[in-house]
Amino acid sequence: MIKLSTFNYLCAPKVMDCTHKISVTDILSKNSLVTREVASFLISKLKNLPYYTIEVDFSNIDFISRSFADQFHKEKVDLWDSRTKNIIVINAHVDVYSMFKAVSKTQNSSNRDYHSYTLIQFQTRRSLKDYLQSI
Amino acid sequence: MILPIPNRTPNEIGTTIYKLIQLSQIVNNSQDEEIIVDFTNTDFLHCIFISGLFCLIKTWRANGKTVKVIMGDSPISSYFSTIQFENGFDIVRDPELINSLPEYNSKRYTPLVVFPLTGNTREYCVSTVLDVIHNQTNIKGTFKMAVDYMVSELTNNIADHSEAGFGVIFAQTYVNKGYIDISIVDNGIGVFNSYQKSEVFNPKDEAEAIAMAVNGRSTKDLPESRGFGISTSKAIIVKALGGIFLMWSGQTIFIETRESPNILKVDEGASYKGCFLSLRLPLNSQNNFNLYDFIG
Repeated sequence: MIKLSTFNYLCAPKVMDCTHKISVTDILSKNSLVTREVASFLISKLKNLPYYTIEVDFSNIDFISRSFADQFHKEKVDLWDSRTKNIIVINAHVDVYSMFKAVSKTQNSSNRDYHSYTLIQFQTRRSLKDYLQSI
Repeated sequence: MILPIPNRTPNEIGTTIYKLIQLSQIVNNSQDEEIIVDFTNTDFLHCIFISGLFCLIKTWRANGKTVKVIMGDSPISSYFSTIQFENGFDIVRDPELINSLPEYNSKRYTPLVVFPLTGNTREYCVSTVLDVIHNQTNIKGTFKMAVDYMVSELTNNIADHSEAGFGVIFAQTYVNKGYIDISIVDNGIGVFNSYQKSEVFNPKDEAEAIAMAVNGRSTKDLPESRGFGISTSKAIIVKALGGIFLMWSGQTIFIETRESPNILKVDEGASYKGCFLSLRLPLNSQNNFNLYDFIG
């Protein structure tokens, strides 16, 4: 039986069949990545490269936000699912890998706990003041 | 109308927020078109009060009020000039200002940074503010990661949900008292309206909307991991760092400490248009936790 990765590779059209390596800092001159927009921008640059398998070197990246990681992960998986690109993160700091791992585990938001809170209302301004002063 | 600015504000978050509630009530219950904010007799104002008042003034001005700020010979006039209280360190109006943010590296506070919510400038702005905070505080390791995580997520939240024209971030380190205070603020549509517009959830009131927000219920109808920004930041602040997380939107305040979480109704005309977030991060709890226990 053919492996999915092999199937994806064989079915990827009009791209070069060698692995291409690129550093994030070749595209973004930064060492921390914060917004979803930047994740989408980075992916769009990778999509334009004429290679199927692209190793993206995160070695100079100190920090990625959860939003960046989530957006990058989602678009990376979409590219894989559509057999467009196989994007591989390499040389990432352990914290960068951990953030990618965290978002990959939490793609289904329906499993989260829900804590109820009691709404406190105050009869007088004085009681609100006293309450807040106690915090 | 002359707004009664206190001579001093205390360090306690609750008391400081009550002072802001009072000012909001006074202005909202008044028909006066001109508001005079007189700091002449003011000795000391806590950064939470400053960031809150700064954004209240922006809202009042947006609503057509004329607000005049008088500093006189106040001892805080030099500080107010440095943090740019009058108009903010406005990167929306002048993106080149970002390049002068590192001038604050040797201080204990940032200016009142007014940042854009779209485009790459926000990315660069938030990263630069974080760099300034790192340089000011010399924080390292997990604590530094936590600060970066919270500031990036909470500023992203404003961009995603507030429909505001800008966000505001202000940070000050109180070394002797042992904490960093960070305010992240917008004067957009507020938490309740954001949920109402989303059609994903249908909270019956502000309190339920804020409960949804702090529980990580995202207004984004997307099959991805949304809604973690506030809930995980709150967990890191309170459970990992032993700090305080406060959110004020509309007439409702959520405040959580290690002792208890509470949602409070603020009546009598006081309201905050948009969302005011205040984070108190104790410095003495650095690095004793695994960040990914709280976000994964």
